Amino acid sequence: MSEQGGKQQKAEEVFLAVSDLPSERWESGIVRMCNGDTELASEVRSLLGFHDKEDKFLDPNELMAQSLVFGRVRMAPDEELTPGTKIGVYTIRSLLGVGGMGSVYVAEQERPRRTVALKVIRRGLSTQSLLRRFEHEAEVLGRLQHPGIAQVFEAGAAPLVTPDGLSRDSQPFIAMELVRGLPLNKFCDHKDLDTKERLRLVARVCDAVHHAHQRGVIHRDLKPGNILVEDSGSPKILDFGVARAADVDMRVTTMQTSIGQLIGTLPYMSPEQVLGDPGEIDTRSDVYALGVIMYQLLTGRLPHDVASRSIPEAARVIREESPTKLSHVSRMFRGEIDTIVSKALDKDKRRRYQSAADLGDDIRRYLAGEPIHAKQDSALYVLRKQLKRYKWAAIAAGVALIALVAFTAYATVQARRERRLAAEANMERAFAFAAKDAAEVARQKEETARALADSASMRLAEQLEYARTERGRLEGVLGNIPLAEDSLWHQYFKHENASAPKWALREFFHRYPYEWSVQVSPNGLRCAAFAPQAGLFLLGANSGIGVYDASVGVSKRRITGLGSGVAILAVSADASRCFAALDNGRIVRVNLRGDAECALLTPYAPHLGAVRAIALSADGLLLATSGNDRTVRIWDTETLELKATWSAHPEVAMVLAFSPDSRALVTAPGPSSVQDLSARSHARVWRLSDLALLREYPVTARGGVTAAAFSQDNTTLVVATGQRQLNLYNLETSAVSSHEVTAGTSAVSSVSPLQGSGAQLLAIGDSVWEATVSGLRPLPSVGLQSQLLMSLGVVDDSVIIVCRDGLIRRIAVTPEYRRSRVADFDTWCFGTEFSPDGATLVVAGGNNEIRVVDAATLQTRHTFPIVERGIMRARAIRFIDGSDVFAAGCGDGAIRMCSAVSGRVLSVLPTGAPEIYSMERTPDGEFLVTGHADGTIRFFSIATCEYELLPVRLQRRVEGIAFTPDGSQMITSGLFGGIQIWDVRTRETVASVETSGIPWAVACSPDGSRLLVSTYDGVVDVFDSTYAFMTRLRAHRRLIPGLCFSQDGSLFATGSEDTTVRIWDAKTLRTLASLETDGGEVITVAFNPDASRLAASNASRFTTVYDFPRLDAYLTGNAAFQKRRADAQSAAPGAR
Amino acid sequence: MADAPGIQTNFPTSPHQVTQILGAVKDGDPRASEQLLPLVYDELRRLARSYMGKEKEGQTLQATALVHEAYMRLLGGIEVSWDSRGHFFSAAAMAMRRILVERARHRKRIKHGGEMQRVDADPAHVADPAEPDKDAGTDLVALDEALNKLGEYDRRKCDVVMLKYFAGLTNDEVAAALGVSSATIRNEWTFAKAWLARELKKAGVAPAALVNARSEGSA
Repeated sequence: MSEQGGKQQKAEEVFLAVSDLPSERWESGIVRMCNGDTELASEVRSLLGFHDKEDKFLDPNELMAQSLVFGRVRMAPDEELTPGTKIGVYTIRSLLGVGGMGSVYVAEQERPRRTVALKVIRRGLSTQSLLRRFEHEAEVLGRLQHPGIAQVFEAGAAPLVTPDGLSRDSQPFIAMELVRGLPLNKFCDHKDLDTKERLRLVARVCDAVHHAHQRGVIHRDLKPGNILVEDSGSPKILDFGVARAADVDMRVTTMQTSIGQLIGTLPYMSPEQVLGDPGEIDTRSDVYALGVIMYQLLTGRLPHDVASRSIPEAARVIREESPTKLSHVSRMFRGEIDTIVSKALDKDKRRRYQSAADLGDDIRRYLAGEPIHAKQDSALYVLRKQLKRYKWAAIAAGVALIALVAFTAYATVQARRERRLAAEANMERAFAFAAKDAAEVARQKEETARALADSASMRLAEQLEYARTERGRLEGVLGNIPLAEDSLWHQYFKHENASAPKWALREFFHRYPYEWSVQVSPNGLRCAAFAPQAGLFLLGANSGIGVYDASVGVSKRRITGLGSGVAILAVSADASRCFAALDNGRIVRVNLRGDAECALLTPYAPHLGAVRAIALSADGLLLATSGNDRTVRIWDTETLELKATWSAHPEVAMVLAFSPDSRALVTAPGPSSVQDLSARSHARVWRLSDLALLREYPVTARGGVTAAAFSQDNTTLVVATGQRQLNLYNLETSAVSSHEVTAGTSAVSSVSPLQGSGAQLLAIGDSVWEATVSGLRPLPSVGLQSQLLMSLGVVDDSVIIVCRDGLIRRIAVTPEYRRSRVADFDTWCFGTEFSPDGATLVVAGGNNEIRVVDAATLQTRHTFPIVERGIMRARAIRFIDGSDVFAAGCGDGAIRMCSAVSGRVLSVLPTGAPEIYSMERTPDGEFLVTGHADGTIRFFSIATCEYELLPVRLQRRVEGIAFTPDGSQMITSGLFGGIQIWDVRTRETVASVETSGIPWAVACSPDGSRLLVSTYDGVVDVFDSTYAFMTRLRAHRRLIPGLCFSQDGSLFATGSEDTTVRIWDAKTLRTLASLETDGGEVITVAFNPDASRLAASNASRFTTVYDFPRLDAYLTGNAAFQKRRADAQSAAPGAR
Repeated sequence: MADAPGIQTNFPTSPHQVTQILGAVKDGDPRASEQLLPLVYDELRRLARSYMGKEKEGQTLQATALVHEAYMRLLGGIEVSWDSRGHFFSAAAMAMRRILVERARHRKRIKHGGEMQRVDADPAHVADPAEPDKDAGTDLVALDEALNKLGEYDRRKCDVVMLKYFAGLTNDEVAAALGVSSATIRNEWTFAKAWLARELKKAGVAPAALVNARSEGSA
């Protein structure tokens, strides 16, 4: 090998040395360097034969990923058109330049006779959709008539004819005013303009930009290269609205241009542009670009050095770093001009000049020596900006004013919660703020509503009630649990039979699975202990011990007469007995079975001074105690005899915990008041058989230890210190991981191991966290309690929290969306439907599997492959009326009839057409209608299994099919835009209806009164029975592929790529609940027949099944508690 | 699936999680690198899917730009060392290579009509069957095999090609990622290309980019 390696090395050296030479000298080089080694020489010659001199081979720019996405598009190299080539009425004269979208030519127009600049769009980019957009935009651009803007004469497409008479169809182009001049920066330098002259030019550019903005056109790509200055000194902006016409937002720009081209544009992009959210880009993004241009013209450099950075790095700099102040570049620019540029370049678009005219105005004021409008940032603002960047506030930016008001009001609460929410922060929250405000406004209208004792007031009152419920729902989204509960339960009790509050509560419990809540008297409540295996927990109070059923939260018995308050409790795992340390210094064993027989540990106090901690071993045989006498003692729980006593620490041990195998005990002192901050104390692990010190872990003496526990698997010891440090010690490897407890303000009060894992649950102040070696994370299902937590215990898959004010809750640890789901498909799920009797659910995965699932238990009954070999998916599943047979509309364009009883494919009905995107039954049950990827539609007769191909073929794939309830009309939707109405009898289209966006799914209400169309933009358009447009619902943030009505027509559901599902009241068209999936984009939604369940197949590998009766069980578990609270509140003076 | 918190790929991944994983990779945790690849792979596919969802037909999508976009999305603005960046881009290059090669294989199958026409499980791989194979560039399936051989011959050369070709890094960036000088990278790249080109020729697929150059040379 080494000899071989040496040879390779040598060949490489010679190759590299020789390849640098001109090729005619290669041979002499080889001879010289190979020293007669002919093997080496021939190896080098062979390699040189493949030398890539021009660096063409393996060009990363040739790697196009879009064909894997779009399947079709490929960039053709842009050929240069020869002079004389005609495109429509334009004749090409010469090439002006080449850009990202195509080349620009000087061309002659016939009528009117003039010379124009003709932008010829790259052929690879010309598609139907692009052409349509051009035609639409042309009209808008034509309206821009300003001396500072190069006029766009025409945008469109025309056949291209080469001089030798060859013609090609439809070449898209933009014809615009031909501007002869220099780019803005070059002009300034060429003419050697002074600062004032440069500023005057910028002000004129501002005027032109403003003109366009007033007409609703944003440039999006302003840069000196796009602003030419004619010799006369008039600036003209090129390519206005072109970026828009081609829909070139930042994300697409990244995609379509090479990285080199992007870098030319990047310095002028605003922070919101580099974020890549096209929705955030507005006229103020152009103002930012103007600021950059101004900066560049004045200083000769860019505000941010992006050329030397990688793109992600450059984007980060633009988003986060302040540019060098103008005044720091040159003292010449101190004062107002610095202020103007800074304001134009503000990262926050709300703080920028709100229009180009404002910027131009201030420039002119500055030139005229008048005071400018921009103010320097106030000290307070700067301070606040530095103090904290509330993530959510930034997100809510779009909601501008509302968010600002809300910001002030919520800042204090939010600061505490920020860290917890940050991970989940999303637009839903921003939206919630806006809606909350709307709710507030509606509430304020209450008085008005009351005053008008007529139908209008009824309507307002109804809106008000809705607003109240909605407010509660949104408080839940925001994590304001007490507020959410107050609002929702108030509405629930007020309108016993109304569906909105009930649904809002279902949503609440879906997010926060509180199995039950009870309130015990907070007076004298001291401690809690948990016996998970026995399903019980104990509360210790001044008056005695209460035993509670952990599954429902009701009191089972009370043990009183202990003679003193119960300070500390420990209970055996089987709940057969408990030990209580009493205020009088005694420790008592209480038999919890039978007659509550009590026995004292010793006739006298077991420790000198007070008892500070007790713990029971997992096997229940040993009791450990510690006291103010600084000893730790071990007792036999059967005989109550003292087995050992020793000084575990120089301090008093405040924390005791047994290992799960009952062989080891951890002891630790609590926080102390020592002044010496460096003083150490230790958490110590003792072997119980001989009291050997196994390990010790240093902690600061001042902080001490507030809680400690072993993990269930006995691999990890968790120690929480008073200095808010959480240390996880691996008992096998001695590895330590340490986390700062940054949540809440108080120390960790309780640690409880999670079953079956090394994880721990912690109670910190008012929240519950899950701790593992890799870090701390909040337990989302618990949410924020406004009460201080005293103790927590894990029971099954739930945690019981005991709050100091007597609130006790049992909360499911696993989020609801993971509790009810169809088992792992390891890929996306596609079609899904319930059987007509509701007992069965069928789900098709992207992995070629169809599963037949018990709808109640979600246990899989059958799994079978769609095709024997290969992989196939089925986007649509439809049961055949009155049978156990269902049809699967498959990726190969065939329908497969499958049996839900035997779990297999019964027959295949091929079509030869591409994939079935949509499939629906006709209302009479006679046909299955399929919509294919190629735009064809087929009617399959269920009786004969023969199909009829409809004569009219749509341009693109058919994504949605629906029928009016009488079966007379069919509605189709798809990528072709709009929806088509068909006469089912004649099988012909009778009408086509415009929708507000590109539609995906359609659904017709069972009574035929409503037609819904979901779109790519997350909108649902609502039409009435005459197909007249009624309203559009902003339902989701992204495409809505899933849309269905419940059978009774009272509800409909939408499922979106934003990974959520919404349930709507079909009558009021209002959201009843917004439910999360396991983080997967939703593909199909389906109600079961009685709408007690909703299945949402999604991209999370699971199909989520929302089980509403189960959510109602949570409702029941909390209702009594909430009823008492509501009653108490309304009884209290000053209640609402 | 391992339910270790912080690494659940079915949850939207936060930049901090990614930096955490990158940190662990840097510290030599082998499990961490196993987590990184699927994460990047998922993100690339998710991105591809989201572009499919938007159906921005007519826009081209450069593979390497997709990698950079994935970087921006997964790491947000978080500053990571070049070391970690290198790990990221290595994983991204590997993921991109797999995606593209898988697709090229898939295409070949369709083209040769070996199986009944069918649709792949993953929407990111849905090829339009009507579309002829228009990949005039490099035969990725053959390149994949050649790269495997190059890796056996010299691991680092293979890394250089991966980072440059599949992740679109510049020489300087590759140099920073691999901790060697730019000059070395330039040399490795020049040599590796000749080596690979020869390998492709042996496999009967001459790299298109070189065909002209060589015929001129020999004439």
